[in-house]
Amino acid sequence: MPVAPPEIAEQTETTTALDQPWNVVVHNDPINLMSYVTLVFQRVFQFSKEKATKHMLEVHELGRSIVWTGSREKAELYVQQLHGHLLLSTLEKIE
Amino acid sequence: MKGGDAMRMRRERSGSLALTGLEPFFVQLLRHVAEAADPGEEPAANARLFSAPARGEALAEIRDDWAEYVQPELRLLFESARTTVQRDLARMKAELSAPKEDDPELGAPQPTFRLTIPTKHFDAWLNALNQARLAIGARYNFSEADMSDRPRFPLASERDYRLFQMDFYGYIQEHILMQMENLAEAKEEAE
Repeated sequence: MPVAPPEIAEQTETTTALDQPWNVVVHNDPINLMSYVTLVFQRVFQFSKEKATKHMLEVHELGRSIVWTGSREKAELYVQQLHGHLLLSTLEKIE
Repeated sequence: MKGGDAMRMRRERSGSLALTGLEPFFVQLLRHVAEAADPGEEPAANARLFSAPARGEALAEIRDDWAEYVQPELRLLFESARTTVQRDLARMKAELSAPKEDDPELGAPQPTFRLTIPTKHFDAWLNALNQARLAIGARYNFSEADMSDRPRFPLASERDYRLFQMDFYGYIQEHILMQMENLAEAKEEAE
């Protein structure tokens, strides 16, 4: 007896929004001192001085730098810390 | 900078920073840190000190939680930094500087002040000075070009005064940052 193939009522997305990676982006502002931005990167992300300086210069010269990528929960915590240090920073979902 | 000839930044053995020879004009600027940093109800200053954590669609996902949980914490953090700065300022001491030999108008010693910033308060000072500079910058809509043009005496307008105020706060921030780096290097060498 032939067996009818199962019907697929609806295709569902298996990954949830929470699984998608998010970027932490720092934007340029003309007021924060360059040395201060470097210090904050070292503090928040435990970057070496060289890496912190590289990201600071990227912010200064290109207007923004992606400083971290990962889970939304952790990205939110990083953005919160950056706002505590008064840097202009945002979360961006990677589509 | 005219009027600030007697001012000196000294590194103390304890690691603290001391600003000596502060003339009344600079004392007044320092006493205005908390006032300048407080955004009150001003939209521009609030928008900068409490900037959005995301843009576009992502903001809609985050906005409510951020407003409910994060912003109140940031307010407390900023207030705490301002309070620490005000306490240090309240401990400022008067000192008498020597009269300047080459200035005939100054026959008698001028009253100046000494401010000590303890190492454990460096973070609070950096934060409060940053709040003040960002709030002033937002209120007066200063551009990068405005800030690269160093203010000159006499300060002819409110705008010149505010640019000078930001510049002076930045000067103190730079010294705190340099001292933090010196202390970190000394600690590394000792280890």
